[in-house]
Amino acid sequence: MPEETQQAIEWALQQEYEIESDLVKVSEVFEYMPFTVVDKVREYFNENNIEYSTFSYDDLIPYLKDMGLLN
Amino acid sequence: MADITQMAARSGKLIRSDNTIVNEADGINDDGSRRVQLTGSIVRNNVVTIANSVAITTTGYKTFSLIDAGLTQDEIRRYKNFKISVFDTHNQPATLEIYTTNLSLAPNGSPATGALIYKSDQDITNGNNYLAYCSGQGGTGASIKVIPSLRDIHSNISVRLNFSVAPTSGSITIKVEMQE
Repeated sequence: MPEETQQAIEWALQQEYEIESDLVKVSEVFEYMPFTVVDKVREYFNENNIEYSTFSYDDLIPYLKDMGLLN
Repeated sequence: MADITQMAARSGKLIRSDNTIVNEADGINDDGSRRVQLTGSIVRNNVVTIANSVAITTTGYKTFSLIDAGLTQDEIRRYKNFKISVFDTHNQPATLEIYTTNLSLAPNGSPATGALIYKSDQDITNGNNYLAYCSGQGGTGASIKVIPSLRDIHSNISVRLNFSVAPTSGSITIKVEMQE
């Protein structure tokens, strides 16, 4: 994962995600809707021209644990 | 009010249709409660995530399977009915294929080897895609695809995607519900 991954997660968690016309806060739903944080992390990488390869929510879990957001 | 001490005791003996004699009172505990024996079996269910919000960045085949998710062939063979749920947000279309393993060809249960049980190049489009693949019952919505062979025995089930253009956003989540 890129070294900017933690910043990307921090940014992603502050975003809102549109699901079927409803806006939900990523920080409130990412544990049961992991695609919300994954898609926003990817968006951060794209907007900041950060190179990355295929990744999944499983790759973000260690960062989320280090940040105290998951047990 | 009736005085129970003045009432005659009723025999607990009964005759079955095959002429055997049984004592109904044998089914009563010392405290007067009925002795009950439950019969039946436990139907087990399981939900396995085979693609945990995977953000795909390349073209070509990408395969997700129950064995890759950590199940063994023996564990998979316990289940007789499967439902596959897909949520895809990639910004490119993909071909989606579902395979069962042909054990004669791939004894180790290798995914995407053997029998193709479903293929579509229209399911995964650009944008949000909610899809479910089930064995038949209740499969009436446009996003629900009926695959009768999902009600069968399998040693592995795999889902294979093929993007001809690399997606630059989005991800895919695939979960498999299984019932014994």
